[in-house]
Amino acid sequence: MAQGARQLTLGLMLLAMAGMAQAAGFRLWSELSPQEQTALAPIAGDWNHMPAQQQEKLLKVAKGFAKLPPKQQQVLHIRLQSWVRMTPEQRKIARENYKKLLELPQEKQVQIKRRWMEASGSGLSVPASPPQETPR
Amino acid sequence: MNQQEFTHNLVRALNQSTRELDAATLARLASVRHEVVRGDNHHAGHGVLTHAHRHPWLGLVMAVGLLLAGWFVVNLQKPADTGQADILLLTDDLPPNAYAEQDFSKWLKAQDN
Repeated sequence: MAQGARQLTLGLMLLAMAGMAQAAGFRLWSELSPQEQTALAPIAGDWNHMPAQQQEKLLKVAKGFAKLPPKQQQVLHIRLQSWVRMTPEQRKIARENYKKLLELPQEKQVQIKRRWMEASGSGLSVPASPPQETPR
Repeated sequence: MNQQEFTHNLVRALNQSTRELDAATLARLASVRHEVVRGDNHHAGHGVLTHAHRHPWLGLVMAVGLLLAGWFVVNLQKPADTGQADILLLTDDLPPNAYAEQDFSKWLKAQDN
């Protein structure tokens, strides 16, 4: 019985390790579903070199991709490549700054975006929505 | 009399008393001391692993506990992330690299004032 229990313990430990590897969640491009491949098509070449954590976040983006209007799908596709080539630190800063912006009233957000576009010489390569009139 | 003097006197008195004991009593005391010391050493080796050796199911319980703890750390500690925030960021009016600039936060604050 002791021998059996030891074997069961060993088996469970191996299962735990396998579970941890699964939790790490690295997936090859070829393992993605057709829907996921469509959503992440612009970064197909980068995919197999990405850390599992980044893949996991992008798969969540892929899940919401189908629900987006075609115009926004197009915008997302255009921006996806530069997004994945940013450093994790840059993506973190971007998320934090965007969150801060969203905390402001809607009118203020629009105003700030317009000012940023003006200040950066209209660095807006692909407008996701037509520029709105800035409330004065 | 301070504490040091008291201790010294106590030790001297105990030594004196010990010297006055007969040989048979000293032998019995020595025997008891040996047994106690041997018992302590024996008990000192009774760690979790010794128990695990005697009770194999303890190892199994430990493995399941570790498994559960790992699952809790991986799944419950992190906030729900649906990817929606990234979708909004990626499809926003401004490109993500605008938000990634270090001074955007300062600029944001300045505009807000």
